[in-house]
Amino acid sequence: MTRLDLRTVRPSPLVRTLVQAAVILVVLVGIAFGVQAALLKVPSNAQLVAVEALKTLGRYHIMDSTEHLSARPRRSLCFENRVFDRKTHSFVLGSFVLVGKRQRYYDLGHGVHFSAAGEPTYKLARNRFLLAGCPEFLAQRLGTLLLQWRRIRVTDVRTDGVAAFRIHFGRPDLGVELYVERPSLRPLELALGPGAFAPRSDLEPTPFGNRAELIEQLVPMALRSRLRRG
Amino acid sequence: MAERVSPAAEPATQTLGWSSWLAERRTIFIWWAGARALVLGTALVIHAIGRPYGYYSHAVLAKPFGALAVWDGIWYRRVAVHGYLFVPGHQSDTAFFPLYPVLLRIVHLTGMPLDAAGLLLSNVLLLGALLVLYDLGLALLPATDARRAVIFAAVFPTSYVFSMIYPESLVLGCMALATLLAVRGRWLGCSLVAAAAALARPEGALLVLPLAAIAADRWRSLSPEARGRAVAAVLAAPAALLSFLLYLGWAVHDPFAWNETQHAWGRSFNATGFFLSIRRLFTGLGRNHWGLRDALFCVVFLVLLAVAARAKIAWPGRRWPWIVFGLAIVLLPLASGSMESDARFGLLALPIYWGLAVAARHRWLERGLLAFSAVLLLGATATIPLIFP
Repeated sequence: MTRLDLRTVRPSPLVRTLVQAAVILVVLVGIAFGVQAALLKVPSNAQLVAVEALKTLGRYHIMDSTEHLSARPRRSLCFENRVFDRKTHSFVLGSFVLVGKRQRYYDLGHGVHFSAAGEPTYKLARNRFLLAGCPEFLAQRLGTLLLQWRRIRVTDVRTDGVAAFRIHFGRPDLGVELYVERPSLRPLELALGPGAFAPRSDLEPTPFGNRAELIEQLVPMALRSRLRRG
Repeated sequence: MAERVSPAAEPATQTLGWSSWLAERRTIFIWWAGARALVLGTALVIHAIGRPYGYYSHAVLAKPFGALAVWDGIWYRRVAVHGYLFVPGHQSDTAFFPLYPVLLRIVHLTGMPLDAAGLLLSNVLLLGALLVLYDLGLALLPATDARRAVIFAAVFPTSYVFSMIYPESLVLGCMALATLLAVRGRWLGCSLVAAAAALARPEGALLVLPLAAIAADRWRSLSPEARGRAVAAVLAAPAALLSFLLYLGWAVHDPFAWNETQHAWGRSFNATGFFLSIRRLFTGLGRNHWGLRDALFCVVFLVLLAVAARAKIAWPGRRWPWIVFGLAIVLLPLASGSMESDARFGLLALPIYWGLAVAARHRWLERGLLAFSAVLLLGATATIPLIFP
């Protein structure tokens, strides 16, 4: 009976080449990952919650809201669509807001325009527009605040009996507070500053709506031909 | 019979070795110091006279070398201090590769301010890159040509970027060192350095081309284990990219955060991007003259690559992988639909320096081109506040 001498069994040159290469590459990926993990800070949980909340916000295109800016709450509706910008020859985000039944506001990235009779100041108009909670517009503004300031405060709260996160973006004494439902991160409320007396609005986002009807209601006639279809 | 060197003679030999090494590279040190003095001096003048103001704020111009610490430098510093944060749809810092901020952070941990750490790092790394580029050049060209190539790299008109808080000097050094180690058959070291290049800028991944050419050239003479090390060296740069994706997946919960944020930065790669970048150049002529600068440098890089391709250069491996490597560095960014910054990206195409060295063999041409480059370098540094490098 012959005995197999294990010492004489060597893997083929190709296998030795591949094993050698694979081992080196795995070690290399491990070292490279380790260097990054050891020497770079990772985002805090609060920052990650804020990012996820902004992602969720950005998924909606229509926002129904009730603003509490003056003594009498007012209902507002926001619809967002891409609009052709003649200055840059590209499509930009257009956010269109209807407050009450007649006051129309819109923003194409160059400041808030409004066409309501008797509107007192730009600041009030801007606050009214912000409180409408246009999802992508808001996600962009809050995202910029997040990237600039980095420090973010996330607090567990209950709002209208619903478990929620209160996310404070920007400077501690100013900034904006977004309330999102736990754990779905659906936006619930927006406050333009900390404290109980800050202007605020209740948010009711909707992913889809009757586009033609919304355009008819919210978009100024002059801009309708510049809207991107679909 | 083996000769024995007396212990007493050893230090003297070593000293002689070092002094001859230094003497051989003295010109490189001088040109490095001269070109950097030009760049840093111009930045000081901008600080002193407060002009050109451009896109900068008073706070930037108030710092002595503020002009060299802005644009992407702000983002690299931000990554060094805070790490990455990815906000979809925004110009996030995940667009910037991690190795340079890691090094910034390490130097900063010694107590040095971040701005100073970045300026020191970039300028010292450039000296290292030039020395390695010279050694690599010696394997391809006569010593005078190799030295001339390095001098042109030091004084190239857009080489002010090598003195900014940008990773270009790190990548240039890593690219030259990785290929030099491959030429010398030191595949393990080559793997590490190639990985470092890819962790510093995406162009590092293109090292696959020259490294594969060198490995293929040496393949028959390698043992199976050495072949494994050579294969690993060729794939090291893509592997490092993979580690970056893994890290982003772990840290910001999105492995493709780099790619996604490119859209927000106005750089999304697609099939028509190349034509779009050329169209944008012509449509923007009346409004943005700076686009012409990048287009002009793109043409210069292509001409230099053509000169290098035709020249008698002892390319390690084959000629074409090196030329394609250079072409990819110069032309791939155009696929993002913009020529912006191509004058900076092309600095990493190593063969352009060899093309320049070969083209300027006549003494009068060499002197003329060096003087012209130095004047352009001065002008380009002075206009940093006006245009994104």
